[in-house]
Amino acid sequence: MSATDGRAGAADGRAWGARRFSMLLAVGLALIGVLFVVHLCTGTVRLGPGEVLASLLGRHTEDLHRTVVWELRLPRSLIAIVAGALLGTAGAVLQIIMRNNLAEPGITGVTAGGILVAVLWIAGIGGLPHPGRFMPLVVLLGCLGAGAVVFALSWRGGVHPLRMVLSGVLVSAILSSVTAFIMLRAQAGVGGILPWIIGSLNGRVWVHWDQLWPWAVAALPLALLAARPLNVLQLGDSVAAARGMRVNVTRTALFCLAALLTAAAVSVVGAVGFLGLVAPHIARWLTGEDARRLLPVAAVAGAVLLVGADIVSQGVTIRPPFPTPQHRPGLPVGAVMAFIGAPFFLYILRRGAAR
Amino acid sequence: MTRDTVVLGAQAVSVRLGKSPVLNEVTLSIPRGTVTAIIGPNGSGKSTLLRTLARLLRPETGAVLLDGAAIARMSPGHVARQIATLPQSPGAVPGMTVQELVEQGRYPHTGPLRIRSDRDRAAVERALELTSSSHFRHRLIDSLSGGERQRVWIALALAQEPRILLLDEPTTFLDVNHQIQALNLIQALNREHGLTVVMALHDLNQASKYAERLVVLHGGRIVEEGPPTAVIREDVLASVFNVQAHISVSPVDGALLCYPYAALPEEDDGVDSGFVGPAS
Repeated sequence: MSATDGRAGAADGRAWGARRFSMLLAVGLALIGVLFVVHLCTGTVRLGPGEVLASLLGRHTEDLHRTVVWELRLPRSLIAIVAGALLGTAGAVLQIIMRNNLAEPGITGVTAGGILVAVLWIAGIGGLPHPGRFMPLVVLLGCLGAGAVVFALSWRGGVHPLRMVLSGVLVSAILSSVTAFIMLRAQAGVGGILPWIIGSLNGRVWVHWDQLWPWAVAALPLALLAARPLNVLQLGDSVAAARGMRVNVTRTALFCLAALLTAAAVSVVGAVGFLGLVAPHIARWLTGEDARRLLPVAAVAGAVLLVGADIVSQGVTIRPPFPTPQHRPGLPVGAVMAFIGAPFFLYILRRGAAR
Repeated sequence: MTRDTVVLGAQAVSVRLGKSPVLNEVTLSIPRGTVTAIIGPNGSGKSTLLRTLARLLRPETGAVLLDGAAIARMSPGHVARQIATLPQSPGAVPGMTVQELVEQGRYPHTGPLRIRSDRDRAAVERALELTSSSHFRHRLIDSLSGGERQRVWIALALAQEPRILLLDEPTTFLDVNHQIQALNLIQALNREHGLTVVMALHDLNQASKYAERLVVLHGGRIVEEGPPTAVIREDVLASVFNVQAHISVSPVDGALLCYPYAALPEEDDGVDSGFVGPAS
């Protein structure tokens, strides 16, 4: 093969790679759009896509439809999209900095910390007033606090990926057991606590959206900008250091970023499991490991998964044997996510093992 | 050698890894535009010396000087724009293409956030061309042969546009043909592009063929230093490598040939235990 042949083929290859990535993003965004409309149609009051679009565009419709779409479903859909994107991105960042494809946002300790705080308040421990609508804000503080503890525990003159994983798992286990203990003591509050532990979008309205979007606006672009250091870090610590990277500082900063992404999502939707694990795997499968493509695709995959899972969850109605504060007892989206995510994850594991 | 020709140097550098001392008062000067090979038995401190010279390890005492200034006071990014280092086995590579990997070499120039410029693209192109890797730039690293992979890692180091190249056993895991190709590439980079090269090598014949200066490390100290003809002696091989060797001159190109034919009994300072006795 002559050199010119090689170069021509190479140029094609690059253009094809870039086109494939753009197409992937376009398809992903279109899929989010379709699921968004389906999501808006789903619920106790059944609406057709035409009615939903008419309500959205402010055309003349029944007041009930407009209220349902604007006050109940639109915020819930938007929260599902953004929280899914946050968790997917957080998972991708963590899997790279921990050098472990089984890493997921839960191991930052952030999830368990937020949940514990939620449970403390709901169970009324310490006589604190119930924060009501501002619950997510309180949960966020718990998330960030636990993330800081995990980080402090894994620091010993530097941060070693494995030490981070172990500290995270350990702190999560301790916090979860405290949570379980409190739940046993305060059974009356279980109905309010469970949606946080499983992860749920039920009853999520504009006030929750208002708490979510500023974090997403701040953290998601930062995560996309982190693609370059993430790529260098993927080559191993010694190679990264020889490229002039301050490996410890970089890993620390990226851990904080992942904790922030997770905290923002968990504080609004609770501990939705598997999403941060599965979305990056799907992204890696579709687009490879270059973080510049991996992160956006993981975000889109996370959004698709969470909206999709919530559509399924609303199709299944359960009546739990205890009182819940929700308007309508629906299956929590976290349960659906686990139902989809766990087998999918097993499949990925077996595929990886077969290689 | 005059002061301004020394581009990289170590002054009485001692390094500990954990509690064990690895380098002991090592003093070394690397002249600009030369190829230096560091040789020595396993555990003699070759990799540690390279990492210390690259500011990847902090010496306990002593100083590393880059252009006469203490490297410890320079930022990692500044050092990485002058010195490119490749570890012995760079490890598993994620699913990246050749070009994506080589682009990572631009990190010291672009930093974490800046956008890649035409200059970055040109440097990547040049690195791919110098290492004859342009034609497989869109292949995944996993799909490359060992020799191609080594070329790509060297391309990554070249994309960094360094003046100094520090290589830790660049021929390990390569077959003989690819070993020679890799060393010829390194030699060409030195001769045609003026790169200063310091590399740790295991093969004494390759060291004396490709390097104009040899540095012999033994137990964390430099025990010999100079051109191959001065360093590759039977007594040095006996005391440092614990082998009896016959040294001759290659009829092909006049390089020194070293044929070790017997392992000597280990002394106290011997590092490895091995088969003792005549090889034939």
